[in-house]
Amino acid sequence: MSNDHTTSFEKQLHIKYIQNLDSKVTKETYEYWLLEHLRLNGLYWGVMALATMNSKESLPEEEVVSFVLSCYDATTGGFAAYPGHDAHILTTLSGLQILLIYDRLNALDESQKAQTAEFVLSLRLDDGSFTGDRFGEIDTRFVFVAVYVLTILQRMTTEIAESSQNFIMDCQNFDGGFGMFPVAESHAAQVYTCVGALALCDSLSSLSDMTASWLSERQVLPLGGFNGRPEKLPDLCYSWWVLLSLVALNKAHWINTEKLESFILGCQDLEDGGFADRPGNQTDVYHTCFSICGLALASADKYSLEEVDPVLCLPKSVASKLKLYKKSSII
Amino acid sequence: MLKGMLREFPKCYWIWNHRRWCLEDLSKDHIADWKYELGLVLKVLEMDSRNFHGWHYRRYVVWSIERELLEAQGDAKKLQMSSLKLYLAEYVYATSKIKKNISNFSAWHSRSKLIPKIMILTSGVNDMGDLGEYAETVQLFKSPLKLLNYELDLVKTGMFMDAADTSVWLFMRWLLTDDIFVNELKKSSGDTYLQILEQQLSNVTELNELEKEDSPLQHDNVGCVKMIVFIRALINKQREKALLDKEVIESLNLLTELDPLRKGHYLDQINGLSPLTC
Repeated sequence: MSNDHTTSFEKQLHIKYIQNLDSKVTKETYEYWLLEHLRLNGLYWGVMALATMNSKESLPEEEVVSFVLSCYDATTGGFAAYPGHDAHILTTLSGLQILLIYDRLNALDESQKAQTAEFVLSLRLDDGSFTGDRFGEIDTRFVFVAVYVLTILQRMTTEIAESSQNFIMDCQNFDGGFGMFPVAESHAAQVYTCVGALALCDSLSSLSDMTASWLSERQVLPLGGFNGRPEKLPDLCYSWWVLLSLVALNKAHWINTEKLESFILGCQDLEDGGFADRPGNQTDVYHTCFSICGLALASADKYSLEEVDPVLCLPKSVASKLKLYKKSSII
Repeated sequence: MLKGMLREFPKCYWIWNHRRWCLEDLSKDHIADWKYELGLVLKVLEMDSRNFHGWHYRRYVVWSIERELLEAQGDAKKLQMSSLKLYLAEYVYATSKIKKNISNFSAWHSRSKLIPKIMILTSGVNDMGDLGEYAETVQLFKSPLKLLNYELDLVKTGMFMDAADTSVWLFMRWLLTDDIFVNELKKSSGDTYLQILEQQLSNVTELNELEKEDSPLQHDNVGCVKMIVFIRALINKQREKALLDKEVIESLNLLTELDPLRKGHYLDQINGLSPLTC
């Protein structure tokens, strides 16, 4: 692995890396089974990385779709990370995203979709927030994911948009960032989910430049990567969270994208493919997905990548098919 | 079992949430040992003072203690004093964490949430009763000016210790702009707010000069120059003058060279496309 600034983007190697993740060899390892609770998320990360590299056909589509459907929990209407696990709002989004990427949302019939929407709505609390599952964990992530799922299923309403926006704005701190819930410290990944939720509620205008300013401060020297909070070390996944938030806020020019690109490229594994959180560390599919999407946002043409939608984290060609909620112009 | 798991995986969301879920169950029967939980999270934050799950959990425990106090439905005055003690203890804890390491933004953040809360609990109360070890701390909250000066002193110590530290600068911005201080200062006598801004500008300018002397190439300090822009804009606003004056533009131009990563932001500010106080 190298941190040479002239490192090129090894597309073929990354495609192979993702294909190999689910091969017979890895299935036999103990770690693979330990990660069962993240399987559907992991599959989305892999599929999204491949779709951004114009290579979604490198995974067997029918197998992928049937695995997604096998994670559908008919009693709740949500998706679990793995057949037989409990349904969770995060994995529900991953399942739907994968179906969208393969243009197979119709693999679910109307009553199944309605049940999925009911599952998400059942997790909604009075203050506009959402819990992740029946165990009650509250987090701004879940608000974003909930409005995202409701957007896919065309179930957004003015009431949901307004109460979600109010809850999100309660989570904003004096520094312009957002935390997991009201009073929690600002964190870059959380800022992304809040910016994303506001975008899906057609309320991005409620943000002042403070948020973008806080985000731009996340880029640190000497390598030009991003940290997640003040006075912390940079980590590759924040490239995505910060960059996409800035793109969504029309402030990508507030950071140095060339430096960020070389930081991302420096985290590649040039032997086996994939990306790690920092140069020299162990690769994983999560960091691989978000670094490839980060490069696509920075310069899709340069790396021959598909353009990516900064809010939905889907190829633009897929995202453009979704009808987003718009505030009514009649007041 | 969860305690052992937290020691091994202190950043796992689900373990923290599961502990919370267990405690919610115990608290229904009023057998949750919140003091033990506070002790546990104290240890977690000793091992990693920036673990945000730890800080969240600490706030959750404090909130739960307060909730049990409320449920007990005792004398209103007593209840208020108990809550006050609880939050003063958190304020003192945040101070101790900052004094140990001024870069601990989690502690500064916590302060920005505790101060308004304590202000509400102390407002309109003349007789604070017996607050024991917090009797002295609570005096700070007698007037916003007194408190602001105390906080600005803490900030001053921090910035002179490490001018490159962004957490101190962020907190300073809050102190100089939040309504809980500014509105009160503007009310008391017209010039108090302006005097504080002038004083801070002079402190930061002095620090910048020291940093310049220490810098091998006589460079200005990025954090200082940013703060100088910020305070000058506030002063100009207060004096009802144009925010973007010659000195501010000079400083912003300097920043485009000193901090090229964020050049685009400074250029937007010079061109009036983005506010100076962001």
